[in-house]
Amino acid sequence: MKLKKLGNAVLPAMLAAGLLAGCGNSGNGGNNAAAPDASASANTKESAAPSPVEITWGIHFQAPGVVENSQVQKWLEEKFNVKIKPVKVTDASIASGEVPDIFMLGDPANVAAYQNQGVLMSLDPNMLKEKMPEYSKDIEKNKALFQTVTIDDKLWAIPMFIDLKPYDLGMLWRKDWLDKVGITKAPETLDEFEKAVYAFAQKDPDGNGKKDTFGLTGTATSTWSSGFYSIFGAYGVEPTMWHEKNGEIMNGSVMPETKEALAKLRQWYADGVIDPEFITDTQDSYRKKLYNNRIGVIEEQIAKGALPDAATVTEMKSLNPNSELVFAKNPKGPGGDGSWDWGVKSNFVVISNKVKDQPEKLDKLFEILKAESSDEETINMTNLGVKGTHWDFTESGATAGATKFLAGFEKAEERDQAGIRLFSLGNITTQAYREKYSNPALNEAIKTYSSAPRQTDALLFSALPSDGKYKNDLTSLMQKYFAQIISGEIPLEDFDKFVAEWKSRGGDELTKEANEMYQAQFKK
Amino acid sequence: MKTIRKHGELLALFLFAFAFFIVFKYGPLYGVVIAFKDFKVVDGIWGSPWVGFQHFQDLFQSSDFYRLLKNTLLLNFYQLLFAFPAPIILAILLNEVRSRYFQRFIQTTMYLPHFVSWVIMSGLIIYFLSPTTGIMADIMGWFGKEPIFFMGKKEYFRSIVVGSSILKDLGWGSIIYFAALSGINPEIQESAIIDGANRWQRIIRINVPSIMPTISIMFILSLGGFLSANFEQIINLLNPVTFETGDVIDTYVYRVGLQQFQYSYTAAIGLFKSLVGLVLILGANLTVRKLSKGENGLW
Repeated sequence: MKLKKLGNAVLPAMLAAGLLAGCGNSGNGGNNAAAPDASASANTKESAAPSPVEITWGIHFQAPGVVENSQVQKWLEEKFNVKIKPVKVTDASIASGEVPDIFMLGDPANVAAYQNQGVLMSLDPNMLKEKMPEYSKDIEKNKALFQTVTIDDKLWAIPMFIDLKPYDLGMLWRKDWLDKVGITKAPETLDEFEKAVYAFAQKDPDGNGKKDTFGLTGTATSTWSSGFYSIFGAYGVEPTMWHEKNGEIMNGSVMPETKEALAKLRQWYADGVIDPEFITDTQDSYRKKLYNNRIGVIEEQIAKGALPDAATVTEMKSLNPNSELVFAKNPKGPGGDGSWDWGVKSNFVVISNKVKDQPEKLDKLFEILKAESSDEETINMTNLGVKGTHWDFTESGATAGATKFLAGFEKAEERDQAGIRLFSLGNITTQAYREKYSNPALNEAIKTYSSAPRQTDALLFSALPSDGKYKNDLTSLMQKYFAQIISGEIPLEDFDKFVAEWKSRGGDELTKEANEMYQAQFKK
Repeated sequence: MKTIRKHGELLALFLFAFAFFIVFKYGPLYGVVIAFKDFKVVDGIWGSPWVGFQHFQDLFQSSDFYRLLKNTLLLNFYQLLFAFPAPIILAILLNEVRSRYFQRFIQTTMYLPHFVSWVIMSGLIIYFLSPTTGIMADIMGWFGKEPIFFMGKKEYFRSIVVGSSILKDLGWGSIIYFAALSGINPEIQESAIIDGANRWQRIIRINVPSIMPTISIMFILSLGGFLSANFEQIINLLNPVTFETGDVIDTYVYRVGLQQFQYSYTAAIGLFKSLVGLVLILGANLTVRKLSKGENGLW
């Protein structure tokens, strides 16, 4: 999914980058006009304020584009006496040498790739402790995360952690279909799961007299794994993930349990339970198939499916008012229950190599980092905006708990116009802040439905030295074989052929590296 | 000096095209040197260390290389074989249609898909070819055939790519041939009718030879884009099952180069691809010149 999205985004993004570069100049002109204003007010506070440091800031990677001189940007500029130049970070912009002073990356693999290109600045762990004491105290219990971005004995990024993940997956069932086929409670075991999806495929749950329904579909085209996460999870594996078994690290793509899961999926496909389009389906399209009475269960993020006002639930209601949904845990199989779990890792803040020789700028960056981690006012401004204008607590008059965005700012793109999200540094916030602003109902749902931390990467998704060389290739090899095995194009026994091919095409080398890394850095 | 003053306007117009090629085509050529270097972003193009032909050696030894080369050549060859003549045939056929209104109607509707981006187009194609909801499944059902999951079978991938290119660019591509056909002197046609030539004979003896120069120039131009024309299309249609037949040099370069920062290696692949393209275009030009006894051809 990531791959395709990127593909679709690259050209427009390049175009947009070009346009923005053009606009940038005129935008700066406007900025200069506004600047005296800001510095004037700064001057009233500190009579001899030094001229503001200019920071190029890579906006949040989920934001599609830069909005210049937004409300939040001006607020930050005034508060920290800096000048901010927001830029959109793309691989192409990095390749042309335009590295912002501060930006966020999603994975240790990205950090490793950028580090290898020499664009990042190494960080002193003691400095982090000194400059960001609140953050350091909180991340103490997840300090293994530092290992994931330590390369050549140096730290290259500021990791963030998350323990209650709204994006953990559970199962979202068509309750009305379950009722129709005579199943009273949402399936909890793999056997019950199997019974339900067979009934969906065979007992005409939509009652139109045609055999046009399936139990489930998958996402064979995701960039990181194979889809059917909960089914593999029921056998205790996730393809491409590193698992620890009796002190040894093995890859989920080639474990014997994976073959068992494939045998099950293959049987389901042969019996018409799995939609043949699982090869081309994406998370987007399988939601649509749920809405359109084609399949009866999907893997869904808890935040999008578990609560009555969650996105997928409301969408389903509006498109298909007679339908009813019910959220359930991942099915329990011979290997327990589980699904794809990103673990405690969140994103990573990185600083440009160029900042190394600019101590004044580095100080400013840490001042901002500290504020974004522990200063409620700054966190609210960068993540939520102005209370009463952009957001408020869900319960009127409350001073803590769930928050909601107000009319006109409900979509992230609308908030971007005010600069909300652009300068957010995500989960760098303290535990105390998160507790104050979280939705108790959602937290409860996550605790109820998530299989975490049963199944996550034994190396916390660290990048192995040879990942760049082999990983993508091995992932597409796995996807090709698995899709063909499930759809019955090749016999199940070819799994062994796949294992041999996987090993010889770099898998053995990666396994060796994974074990070395585990022994050196993660063994408990 | 005299000629400059005489053709001032023409030269001024030419300047734009000249600047375009300098800035966007010749300027970036400098970056090709990274194919012989170990490019690192911080060191810049010039500062990165030289590695000679290292990347080319890696390329020729890679197990992917021959699959990629084969896929690229085959796909483009089929493209040329089927997608190139399609607009010519369409133009000749429509040229024979008597009703002006009908002719214009067909032309306009056939231009439309050209303006749809490949992202949307490929979504439509995946939908059309779906074995359960697609229109293709319905059509096959009328003939009592079992629906086939076209997107999930590697042997159909090339046909889908070629077919969808024809579908998308058939109308657009035919514009130039329409223009060429309307340039034929009507007196030739009239005298042929008087001499008793039927429709088929007129097409073969008059229409086709008259637009032959246009065809050969279009052929050479399309060879110029040979090997690099359909990245957007393929990346949007590709899935893990069709990798074996559908993964081409461009999609590989995108995956490995842009997503994994292996700029030097992929620059080497790109350079190699350009070399193959150059050989092909030189060969085609030579062939066209030989066949037309030196009358057609670009140079």
